Amino acid sequence: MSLKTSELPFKERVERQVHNEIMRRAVVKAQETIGANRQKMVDELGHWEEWREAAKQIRNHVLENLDAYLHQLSEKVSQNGGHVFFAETAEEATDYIRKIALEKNAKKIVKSKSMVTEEIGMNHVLEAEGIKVVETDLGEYLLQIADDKPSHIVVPAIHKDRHQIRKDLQEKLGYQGTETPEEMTAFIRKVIRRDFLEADIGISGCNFAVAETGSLCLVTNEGNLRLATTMPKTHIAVMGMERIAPTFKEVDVLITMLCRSAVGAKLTGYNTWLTGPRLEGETDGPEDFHLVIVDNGRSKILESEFKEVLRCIRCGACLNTCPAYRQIGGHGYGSIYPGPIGAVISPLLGGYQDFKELPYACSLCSGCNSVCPVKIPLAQLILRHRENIAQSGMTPLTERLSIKGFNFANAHPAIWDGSVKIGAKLAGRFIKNGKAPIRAGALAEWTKARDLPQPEGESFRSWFANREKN
Amino acid sequence: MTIQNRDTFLDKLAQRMGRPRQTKAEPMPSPVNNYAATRLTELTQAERCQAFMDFAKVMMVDVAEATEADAAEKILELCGKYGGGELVINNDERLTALGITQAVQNRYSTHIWTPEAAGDNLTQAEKANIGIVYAEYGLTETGGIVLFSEKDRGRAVSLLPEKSIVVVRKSTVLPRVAQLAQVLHEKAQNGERMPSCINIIAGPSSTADIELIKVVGVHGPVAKIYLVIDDL
Amino acid sequence: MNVNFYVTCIADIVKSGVGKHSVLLLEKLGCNVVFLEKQGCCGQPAINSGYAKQAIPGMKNLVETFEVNDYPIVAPAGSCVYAVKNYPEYFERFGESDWAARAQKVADRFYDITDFIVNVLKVENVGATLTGKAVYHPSCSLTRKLGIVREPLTLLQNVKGLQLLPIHNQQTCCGFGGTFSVKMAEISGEMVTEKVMNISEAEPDYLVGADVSCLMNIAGRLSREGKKVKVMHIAEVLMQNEKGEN
Repeated sequence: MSLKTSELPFKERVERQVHNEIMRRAVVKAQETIGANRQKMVDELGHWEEWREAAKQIRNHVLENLDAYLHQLSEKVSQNGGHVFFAETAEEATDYIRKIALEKNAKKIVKSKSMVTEEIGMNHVLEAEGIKVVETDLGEYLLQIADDKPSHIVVPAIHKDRHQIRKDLQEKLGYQGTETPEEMTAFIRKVIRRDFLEADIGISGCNFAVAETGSLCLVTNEGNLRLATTMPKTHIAVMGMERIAPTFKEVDVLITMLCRSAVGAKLTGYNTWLTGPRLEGETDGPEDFHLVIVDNGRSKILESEFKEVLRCIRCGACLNTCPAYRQIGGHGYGSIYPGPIGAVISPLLGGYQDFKELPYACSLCSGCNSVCPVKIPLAQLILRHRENIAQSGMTPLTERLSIKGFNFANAHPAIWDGSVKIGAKLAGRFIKNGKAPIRAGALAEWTKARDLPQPEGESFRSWFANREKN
Repeated sequence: MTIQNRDTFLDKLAQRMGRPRQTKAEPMPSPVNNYAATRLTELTQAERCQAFMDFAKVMMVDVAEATEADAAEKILELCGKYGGGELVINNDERLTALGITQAVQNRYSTHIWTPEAAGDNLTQAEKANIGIVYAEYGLTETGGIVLFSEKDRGRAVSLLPEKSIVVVRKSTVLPRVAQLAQVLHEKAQNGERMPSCINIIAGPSSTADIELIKVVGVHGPVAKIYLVIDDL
Repeated sequence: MNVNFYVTCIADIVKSGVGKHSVLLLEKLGCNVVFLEKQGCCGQPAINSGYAKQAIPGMKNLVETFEVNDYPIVAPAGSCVYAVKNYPEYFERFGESDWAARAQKVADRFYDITDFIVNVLKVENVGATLTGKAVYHPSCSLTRKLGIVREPLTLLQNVKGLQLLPIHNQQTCCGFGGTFSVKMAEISGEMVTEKVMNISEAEPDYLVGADVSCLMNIAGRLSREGKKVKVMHIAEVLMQNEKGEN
């Protein structure tokens, strides 16, 4: 499973990221810029809340009829001359893709950005066969040459600044130009162009698959997806099984919400709707088309209390709003799916073992809920994970004991009453100038960044009771 | 073509969904609202076209206008403006009808994309400085245009050359993608297969992957030009 | 009008002034305030850490406590009100439908104090005076979870002499998040530091909020940075008059 982007333990990752000045500045800039652009687009569209309801309705309908739509989609793709492979596990998916690559005797593969292909660890499997896999999305390409990991689901290299990028280009590709984004981009365009022309196979993800026509909708800006699906003789598309729209009419609503939420644009530069291999007489486009439909834990989610998260259209608006993500960036989460959406799906797709801290790296502020274009109750689902973790005994014993004590006191008014009065007196006696004599546990954690509250020395209830008497 | 593992996959899925497997979806519930279909439909065709051109300019498209009569002349102006050189153009009778195909052929070294040219097509498209295509529709909301692929209309013509010129008639400008979706839906209902590639293009290629700074001209064309034919 | 006061554990233990001023304010507006001593914590520390099931006995105690009368219940913290509003769902999920119904009745009577003053007492100007510049912190629970946005602003805008200043990223969470503040102290610390940076930029005299938990968090950071901004709960502000505190 390839969700993990780091072997470091959570606390260490957070420590490192919080001190990574470049990343922090970059993430703040990303949030502010995309956030402002998103708001402009929300205002421009008008009736935003109604559009969200419409998008939610569409996604819910698809999830409720997922088996039927997958059936219809596969029928259509097949009728159009494409091949469909249903993959329950990541291994099944990568095995199939490897098989096709070997059958085609592929030496070079060009890839456009696809989260699900990262999730299933596809690149490693192909590279192990000696096949060169080129990430052609600019951000992913920059990460690939530097052997780095994505930190955002839409702008994956946001944590790098131009100096770092220039250094990587120079070291890996002999780049001699300046560090202006324009010049570096032009250089990369030339370098990757050759790959497009030479590649045997193009591999893409899929934003939405249209059940009615057996089409794939891809939402892009750079032109790399178009090239990857125009030049090579074979096209393999990989999709998460839930990424379906019934017809193009629903695609319209979904890409409207996706583009405005993800990058603050009405639509991206290219919306490419591909249907099967090339037609008789066409001289570009793939001759052979394969659609790999991936489960990898999604059907389990559909059955669970987390099913609403499958509405996700991977816009990243939740990341761009999250105040916790703002401080630790994608690498802090240690998953290819970071931020609020990652806090929900990383444990689901990748397991609690590796990702149990993520649901706690959240203040439950619900900013994510308010920007999600398909109204996923992310904060509530994050809280649900905490419940699962707490109820299965994965939390520290000290925590469980103190919660037990707290709950006991709270269920017994006489005990609670006494504790509050004593607590108030102790606080008044011992907290001076925002500091306490003991620096352990919660007190130590609180006082890392803050002073303790200035107490008033007497509990409210004592004050109230006393004045009743008088 | 082949479908593998469908039964085990969908049987398991249906089981998890807690009911027998379905092969036909329930009908879509009536939409909670209809903004997608009604937005911008209140504009007249002329208003739509003006908004289309205005927004295309915002999206960094170079927008030129012509009448049916002077389209050929205008196309040559544009080709000159963008450095002439080698051209690639689709074998599209709608371009021929405007005199565009002949005009560029006469002035420039022009490759016409046809099925007969086979492997030559891609080679020429890659060498070409300018590619000329005819759009099925324009889209008011985004200033975008819609291209359908076909044996005489290569995907690469609007992709490989550095400069991409799109000829679009004002009469074909739709409010937004919803209307295009309706057209395709009707085609599908009639049992027609979709074009193998539909592109909705709203500007030159771009990226903001480096420090979120927008750079125009990445893997796709560096410049996008519309020749808008006033046929209203 | 008879009104129950729900003090919240934070106010009860370390910020009784907030409770005090809330009660005095309600009385000033003509309420007879009842404090039912059996009340405890709303259970958030347990619930938001994933121990909702274990917090059920405490939730039952709270429901029972407020069943002795049918007066509205007013609290000076949106997060506690929101927690109680979720009780019916928890009871339902843990198979206690009867309690869910009882909890619903109690939850329906729960109000944040600004919501109560503006929408039940129908008062928008309590006649307070406080001269100076203030930044208002809209807590996540109040604004996003309970949808109470304009009520605190209306009350503050009617305070004579008080100038409300906008700040950058005003709607962003202050970083408290209950146990988040100690379990994820590094992240929480960065969030509150950024919040204080934005507040300081406006150079206010006061930082005002309607949620005692947020205020405790922000005040802690202001104090650590030696900033001279005075942190006040909205109840304290609304009890101010020309001569100073009432």
